[in-house]
Amino acid sequence: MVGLSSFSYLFSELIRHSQSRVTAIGPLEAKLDAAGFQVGARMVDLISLREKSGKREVKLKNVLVLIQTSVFRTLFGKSADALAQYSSDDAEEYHIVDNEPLVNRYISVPRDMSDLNCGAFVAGIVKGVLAGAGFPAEVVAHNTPDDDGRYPYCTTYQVRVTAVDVRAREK
Amino acid sequence: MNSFFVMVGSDDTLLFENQVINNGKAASLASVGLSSGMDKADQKDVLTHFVLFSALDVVDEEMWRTQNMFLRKVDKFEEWEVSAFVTAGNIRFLILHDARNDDGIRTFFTRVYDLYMKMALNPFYKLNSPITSPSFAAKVRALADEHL
Amino acid sequence: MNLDAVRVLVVPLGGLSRTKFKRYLELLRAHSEVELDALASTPTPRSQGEAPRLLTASPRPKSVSRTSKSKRPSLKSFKSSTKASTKASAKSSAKSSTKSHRRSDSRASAAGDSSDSDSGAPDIVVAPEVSDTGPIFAYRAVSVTPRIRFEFVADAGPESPVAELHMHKRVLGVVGVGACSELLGDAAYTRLTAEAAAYPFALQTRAYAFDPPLDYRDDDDRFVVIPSNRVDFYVDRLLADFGEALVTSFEVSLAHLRDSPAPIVAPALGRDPESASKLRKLKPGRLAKIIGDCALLAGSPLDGAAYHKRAIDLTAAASDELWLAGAQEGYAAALVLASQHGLASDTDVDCDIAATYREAIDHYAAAKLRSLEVEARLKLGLFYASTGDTLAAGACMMDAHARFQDAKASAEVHDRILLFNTMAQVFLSIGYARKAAFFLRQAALEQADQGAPGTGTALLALAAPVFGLSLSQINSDALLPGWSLATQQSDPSLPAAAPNAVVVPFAASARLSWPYLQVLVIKDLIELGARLPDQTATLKYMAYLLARMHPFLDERSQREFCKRLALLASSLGSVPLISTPGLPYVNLITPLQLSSEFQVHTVKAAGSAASPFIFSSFGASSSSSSRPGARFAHGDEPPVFELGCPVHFALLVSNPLLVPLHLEHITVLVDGIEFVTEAASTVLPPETTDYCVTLTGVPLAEGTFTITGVSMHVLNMASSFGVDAHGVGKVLAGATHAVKSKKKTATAYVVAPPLPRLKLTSNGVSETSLLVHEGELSIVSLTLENVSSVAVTKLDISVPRNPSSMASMRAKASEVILWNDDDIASFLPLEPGAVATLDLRVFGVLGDIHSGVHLTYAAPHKPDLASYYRTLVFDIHVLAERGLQALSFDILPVHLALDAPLVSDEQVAPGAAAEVDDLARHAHDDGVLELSALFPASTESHDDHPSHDVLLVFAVANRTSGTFHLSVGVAHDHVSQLRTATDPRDVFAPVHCIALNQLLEEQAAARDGVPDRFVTRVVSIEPTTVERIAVPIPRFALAQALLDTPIRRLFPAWSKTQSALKTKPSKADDVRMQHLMYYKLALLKLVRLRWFSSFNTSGILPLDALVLTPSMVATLTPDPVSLSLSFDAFGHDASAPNSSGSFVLVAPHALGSITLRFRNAGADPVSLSVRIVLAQQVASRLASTADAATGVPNVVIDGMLAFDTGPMMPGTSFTHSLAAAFTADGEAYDLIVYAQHTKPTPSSSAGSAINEAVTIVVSSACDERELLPLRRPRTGSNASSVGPRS
Repeated sequence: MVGLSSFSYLFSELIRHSQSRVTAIGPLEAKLDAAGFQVGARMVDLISLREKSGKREVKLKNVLVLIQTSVFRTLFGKSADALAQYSSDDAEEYHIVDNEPLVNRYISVPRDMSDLNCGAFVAGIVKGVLAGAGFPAEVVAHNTPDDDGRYPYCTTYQVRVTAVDVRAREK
Repeated sequence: MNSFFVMVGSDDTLLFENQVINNGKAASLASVGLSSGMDKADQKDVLTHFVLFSALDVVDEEMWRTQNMFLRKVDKFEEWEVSAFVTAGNIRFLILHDARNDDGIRTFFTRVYDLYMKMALNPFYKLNSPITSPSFAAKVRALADEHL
Repeated sequence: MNLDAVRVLVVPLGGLSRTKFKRYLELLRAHSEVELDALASTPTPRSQGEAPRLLTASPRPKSVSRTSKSKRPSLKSFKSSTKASTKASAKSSAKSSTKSHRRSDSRASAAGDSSDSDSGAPDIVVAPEVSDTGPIFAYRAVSVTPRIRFEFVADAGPESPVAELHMHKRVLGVVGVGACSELLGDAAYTRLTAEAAAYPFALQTRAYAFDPPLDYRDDDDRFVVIPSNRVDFYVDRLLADFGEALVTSFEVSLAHLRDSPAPIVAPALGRDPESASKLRKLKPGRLAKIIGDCALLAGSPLDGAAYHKRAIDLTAAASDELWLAGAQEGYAAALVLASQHGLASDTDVDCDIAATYREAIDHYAAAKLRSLEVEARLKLGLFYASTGDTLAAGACMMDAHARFQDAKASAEVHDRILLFNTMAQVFLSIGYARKAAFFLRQAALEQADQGAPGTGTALLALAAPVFGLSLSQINSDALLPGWSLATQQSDPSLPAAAPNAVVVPFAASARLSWPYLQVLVIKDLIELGARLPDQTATLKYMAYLLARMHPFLDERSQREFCKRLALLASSLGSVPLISTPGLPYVNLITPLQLSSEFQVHTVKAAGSAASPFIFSSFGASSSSSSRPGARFAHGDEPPVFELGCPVHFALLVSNPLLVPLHLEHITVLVDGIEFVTEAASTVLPPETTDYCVTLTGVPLAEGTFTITGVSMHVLNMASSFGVDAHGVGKVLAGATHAVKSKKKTATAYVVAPPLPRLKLTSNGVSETSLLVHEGELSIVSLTLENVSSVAVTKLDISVPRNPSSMASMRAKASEVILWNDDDIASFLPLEPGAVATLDLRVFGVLGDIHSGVHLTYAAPHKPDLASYYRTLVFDIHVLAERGLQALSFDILPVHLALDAPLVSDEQVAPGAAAEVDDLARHAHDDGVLELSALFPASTESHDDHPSHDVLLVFAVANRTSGTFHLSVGVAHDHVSQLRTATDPRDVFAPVHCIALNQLLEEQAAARDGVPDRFVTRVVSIEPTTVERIAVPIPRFALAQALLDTPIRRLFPAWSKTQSALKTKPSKADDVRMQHLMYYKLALLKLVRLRWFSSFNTSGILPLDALVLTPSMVATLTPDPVSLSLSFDAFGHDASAPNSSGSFVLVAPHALGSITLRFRNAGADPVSLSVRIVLAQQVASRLASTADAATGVPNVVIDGMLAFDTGPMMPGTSFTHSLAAAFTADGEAYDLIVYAQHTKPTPSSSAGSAINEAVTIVVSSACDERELLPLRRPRTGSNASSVGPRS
């Protein structure tokens, strides 16, 4: 467990570092995503070693639950707020909702890049965990502030698994 | 016990290998490799490589059927057996051995898994990239001597 | 698993061509499955002559008639039952016997009730007792039309030893096909029968004749003629008839077998034959099994199942291992077939099948029939695969393989190949790509061993992608047809990063998934390719292996492959152009900048309106950027080459291998103009990166060219590499069209027509370094030779504005290096071969200068050469030493003295008494004393505070060999303050002393014309001498305001770093340093030393040797202590003496007193030590000698001549008086007072001194004279108070 202040400092440094090397928002998010991926891919083993006592998750649903609970708790001290499945014919689609992302708490996004979401980092982590567990998926972070403005930074991570063999495995 | 241990990344990259094969067995294994004018020394390793590589098929099949990491014996090649271990990150440990020794292999795998975790947590190690650290190799060798 | 297919041999009849035979075979195969009741009219089967044998051991049936008799009813029953069971499918034949109906029904019912007791498959009816009578096949419960399947083989090969157990492996029929056009006669038929005879178990024989001509008469009934129209229909019919006949003969022979008492012996597989009694016991089971097999062949799986089940029971009871296994296998097969035909539900049958198969396998194993066991395992695997149980299938396969490997020695090669192929296919079917690849490879290698490397390669090509290698047939590469190899991961870092990154093992850049396997597969490819007639593919594989997989080859194999590659390539005859991938890695190809004298410059468009010459900046910059051999950097403009003069290219290559590479015939590929490059060759040491090879070429035409690449022979192969815009190498795709596309981005180099070229020598050397003294002048003569064929008509010399030299701020190169343009004009134009000399005058200006003299020349008279020019750079290094040097400085306090040359000269114009003894003389003659003449009224006004003069004394050394003149200047205003100059007696000699009057004169002169604020005096200094020069300057004080302002950046380092802060002096020291600095500045403003030499050069003598110490500054500053002298009672009356400041008249023999008053005008208490000296002036000795006779002393002074004043408080004064009497008339004395500060105080003048002197003249001539108005004595206010006392 790392202190929140040091974490946010490191994270802001990470963002500044990435930002200093890109011009547009897309590349910046891509960089954050890549950074997160490395974290996530390592988290899989770590979590299973710490908490699952040497068991692997072989079902997509279970992996997602693992992410929602263990991974988020390990990384951010609290598990994600919701995990929802969405029916889609061409993919297995799930949504992980985090009302107060730790990563956005101390990040003030400038006007000109208002649609930047530093949750891209977390999206990368989720992607990394999934890929590590053998479920390659696309993960996108969306800004979804709720209407009554209680959670202005509420972020939804959209997970889409399109790989045919993986989906076949799920059947 | 003769054994040939490999770690295979989730994208089938050969991460690490450790071979303990004394000649008699090796020869019998090598003899299977059909002679294509290649020198035998070459043959031996590579045939073991082949066997392990082709065993990945079974592993990929088996690993989705159980939550266990240790898959016991997944494949056999003549008198050789292939036991496998799949980490949560889908790094696959394969070992080609000629004697039944599940417990030893299991402990060996788990110990190597710990080693691997220690190393993989190093942010400078790129996942699924070959492991070149000599200390890692030495530790694995020690473990092999101890448990196999 | 084709247990239900009847194996039929097809033989060509007559001289049938292969193509036709193939066609007919295909035709037959197209109809390899026929419905049995599709036969309309049963032509009586021909082969009635004798009942064929079905088993090896079965005796020949006795007579035809019996068999034919016994056949009839069964056939009827067969037909009727078929019709009964078939849902009104086929056309029903009118006659149907009710008896047969009943029989079949009863059998069905019997089957129905006996099925419960049966423990076997639930919905399989128990087979009837193999009774002595009745038909054998019942086709019961067949819900579909029974069909028979043929397996038409063109070559049946030898009979397998275990064919007893496998009917389907046995050739049961022979079909001859022929074309009517060929001659079909007895010969052909006998051949057919001979063929058939080779297969003793061929039950039926047919001979078909295809493609009858229109006028074909079908007279020979041995051949069935198939009309050309509706071929399919006829073939279908005929085959149906064939099948029908087969079934019939099955029944015949089976019945015969059943009836005959002869036992059925198992195939003798090297085991001792059973005894007759045992055989008899075993017969029923074996018979049942055979019948089951036949039933399967006859297309009645249910019968087969039934019989096999029965056989299982019997054989198990009789513990007949082998047959039991066979029966079980057959049973399983029957079940499978049944389920395939939809006669049984899969789900519950599957497990049954599997179980049975396993048992069968076990029994085979027990019976030690390896081949059968393997086969069974394969079949089981296939079955599992079909049911989708991949894991079990895989296990089965691996078991089969293992068992097979045990029996490898016994198994034939084609069996092995078959096995591997089938296993590969099975694994593919269950999606085990890797295993499939494994067996594909095995099969490929076997194929290669069988001398079919082509197919082997094809198989490997299938397997390669699994190992991350893609093997593709490329047609685009016209130079080397065949397979091309590539690593599948489209990892850009593999081929693309070749230039700068030599691929290292396990580098993150090169992601080879499983290198060992890839290497091995490539090696296999090489080995297979080596056996192909076309070796080019092998070439590529080896090249690829070396170029891409080298990190995973040890040195030995690398060397071996290099050797093989070289050998192979050379064996191919003409040097093959290997396209992909290239070794070594070419990193860069770039032309080298020519050496400076060969360089050609183009005139910039800007400013080149009139003449093509704008050398000023361009010449300098180009010369600075173009060091000889420097690589032409990107962005800089490309070099220009001259037609016919060689161009050098730098080629950077890397050899990643552990073995040296021999590069031969390296040539640069140049596009655009005709260009010859001479082929170079070199040896690349192992593991070298950026090994530089220099290539040489000569352009043969004017114009522009671009570098398209480089081609070289490596290991006897020609590889060509292209370049991108920056000359960075990349592997070139064989043909040059790839280069064409690059051309637009590549840099274009200009080739100019022949230009003039000058060769420059200066005294034989091309670079001159000379040492001159400051102001010296020396000559450097350059020799220019025109070594080209074009006359030089324009030549300019320029020196760069900013020479790269430290001392450039001291001396500008343009001041140092001088030339005369007329000389240049004199020898232009310089014809080819002509030689001209040019003199450069180098003038010594302080500092050392490295400078290139740029001689820029061209032949603008030729229009096509107008835009080019060349530059010769002549490096010259001038080191000038300073001529004059100020050595040491000192500041001396000087006492006031009369400015008199002090030479005794009698003839002095009267009235202009400039001397003391004139005074006396004047006094003697007319008695008129012109004091005014003696004491010219001084113009300046004097303040109360006295200010004394000081001497700035310094030594100047002339180290050179020439005479220097030093003009010493003192600022005007200060000169006017100067009161007097020093007396030579007081300042040590030898000193060039600047006398005041000279200064005054020059000041006057200066006032007239020259607006120089300095009054100067010239001192000439001889070579190698040191002169001391004393300059009188007034004391001055700096305003406190000035002193208080700190000097910015006086000590820059101190405010910078921490360490400097430590060494920073205290505040007081800082302030003192500032003050010293200010005083030095002021002093340098006051005095100027300018030197000039015989070469009318001049310069300011730097006074950096001047170091001011606090004491010197104290001497400079006015002394706060002032001294005033007063003389009382000297003279003829009591009136005030005629004192004129520095000059006092006293009467002879008059007694008086001299009063000294020191006054401290400073801020601090001061104490002085005073010394008083009365010195008789030299010139007045003559007078004194007069009195020498009397011996009366001329002077009597009473009082302390040396004393100390106590501390004098500020503002107070100290008085001291002396009593003195002067006897000798006409003498002059100097009364000198030296006062030294004993306790120097920080602020006041430490160590400074007051040196006052008064000249006392004793004269009796001043009695009867009223006193002339005296100038106010400047020695203090009290002098004025010395007035006439009344």
